[in-house]
Amino acid sequence: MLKEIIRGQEKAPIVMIEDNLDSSGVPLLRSFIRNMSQNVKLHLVTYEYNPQSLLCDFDSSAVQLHSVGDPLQWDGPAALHLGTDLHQYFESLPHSNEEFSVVIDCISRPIHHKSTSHMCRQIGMISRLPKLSQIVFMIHSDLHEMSTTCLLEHTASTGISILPLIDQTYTGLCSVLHKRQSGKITRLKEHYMLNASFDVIESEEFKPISQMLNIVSDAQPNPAANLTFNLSLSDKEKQDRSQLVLPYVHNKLKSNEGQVQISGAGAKIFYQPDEADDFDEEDPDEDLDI
Amino acid sequence: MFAELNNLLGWSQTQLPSETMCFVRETSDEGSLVLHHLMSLFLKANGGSVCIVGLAQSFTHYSSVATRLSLNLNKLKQDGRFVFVDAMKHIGEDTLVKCGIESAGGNDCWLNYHPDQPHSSIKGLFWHIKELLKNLNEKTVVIIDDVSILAALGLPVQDVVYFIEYLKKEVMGKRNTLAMLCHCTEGDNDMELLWRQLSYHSDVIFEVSCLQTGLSRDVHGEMKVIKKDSSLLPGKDNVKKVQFKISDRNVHFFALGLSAAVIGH
Repeated sequence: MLKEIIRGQEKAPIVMIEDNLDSSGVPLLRSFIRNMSQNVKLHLVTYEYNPQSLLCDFDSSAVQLHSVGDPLQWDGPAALHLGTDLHQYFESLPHSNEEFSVVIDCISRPIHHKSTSHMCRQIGMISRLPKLSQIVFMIHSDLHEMSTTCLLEHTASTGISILPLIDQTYTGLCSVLHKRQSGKITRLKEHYMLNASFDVIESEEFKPISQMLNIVSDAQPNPAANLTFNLSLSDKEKQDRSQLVLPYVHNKLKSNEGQVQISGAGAKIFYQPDEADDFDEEDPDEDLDI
Repeated sequence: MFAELNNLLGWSQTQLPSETMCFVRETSDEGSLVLHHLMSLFLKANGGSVCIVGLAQSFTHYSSVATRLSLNLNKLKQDGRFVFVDAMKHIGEDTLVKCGIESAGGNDCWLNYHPDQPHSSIKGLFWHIKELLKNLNEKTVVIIDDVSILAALGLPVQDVVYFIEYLKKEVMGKRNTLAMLCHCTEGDNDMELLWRQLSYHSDVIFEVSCLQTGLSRDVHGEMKVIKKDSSLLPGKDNVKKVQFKISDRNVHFFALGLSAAVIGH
């Protein structure tokens, strides 16, 4: 799912990347920038990071940089600062008739400066600009309350939350909440793998260890599979075995037959003590009052 | 200068950190050892200089620390290799001027102080430091001791972050190093927000804390050093955790549980 979203095969008009101090979302953001700049003209707005560090060695000819280097305008009036209305800013840019996309490196700072609702409104308005194909932004979730990230999750069509990495063979682990325009909502955890140029090469659904153990136990090799002799039984052999009557085992039918014969003959026990028997003629239970 | 800390970080007098933001987060009182280390490392290096923005301590304090580390701050100050910015004095005077009270006017000036806009002085402090940095060379470390005092003065956390951001841009633009200390108390949400925000922009993070098992004569504290990977890939950071013992003129670092007292037995 993540691979399709990054490569643009799955439509995701508003993408939010949530990261924290322990699990950075910058590699994934670089991957988005790389793929988006290959398709349409990209406007990269940087509040926190150095734009060159985000671009790495991509072909940045299709990327227009909007760096907020002087957020409070201490060095003089700036076109883009923390108080800038981003929607108006993008509206006023001279666009040709071609489509464009927007990436904002981190909206934590403008949220602190203004408010969450203001930023949600801004993102919503930018996403409705006629020629805009996609908007991607990142937020440091540990700098805000839960309500802020929830509010933004409602605004976004896709929320990617970076989780602590468990399996070191992958680049990272994230939870993806994707809302299709048809109304279908998908929520899943995925491992992703990036190459040296931050292109996503693989994304695979994350399976918890308990499930992985089940898979391992199911896939155990069968030692009786390649033997020269037969260790297992076929169904017919099992059926034949179940019908075999074993000797010296109590058999219901036989015991019934025996009883009929015994009752018909009026059986009696005749006992003749021999010399070895110590036969007591006196009744041993004589003293009992029965 | 503590050689063992240099080994831990891969720094030396010939290989000074450059374009690096070092952030010390202390929950005990020993975090300043990193700042003292950086101060002596840059002053002992050939052509290195230091600018200390003092909020927690006076010049006398740093001078006495430097004496123990075989440095004469007064002489270095005259040579132009050491600059001390008394930030508290600067903020105080700036605030009084903004309130229309002359600081030299008399002793009662603070009695008439009305903190209308306490955070306005931070911009003035930045411009002051910016002017001073013009005279310093490439191998300079700017040390802020400590940032949490700005927040304690009543400045909004966000304004402190902006101040550091502007300072970082100025210092990094000249390929210098910025180091700062932030004292954190558990449960203080403002301070937590401050250190989290500063941690995002730091290259090396030092977390200095007391020994978790309690006070010890042989181990004075623990330090976690996080050297961030430049590509910011998850799980690639270089994290080291050590314990330390402070002696008269030096600090000994050792792996967890391997203090001399333990090995001796």
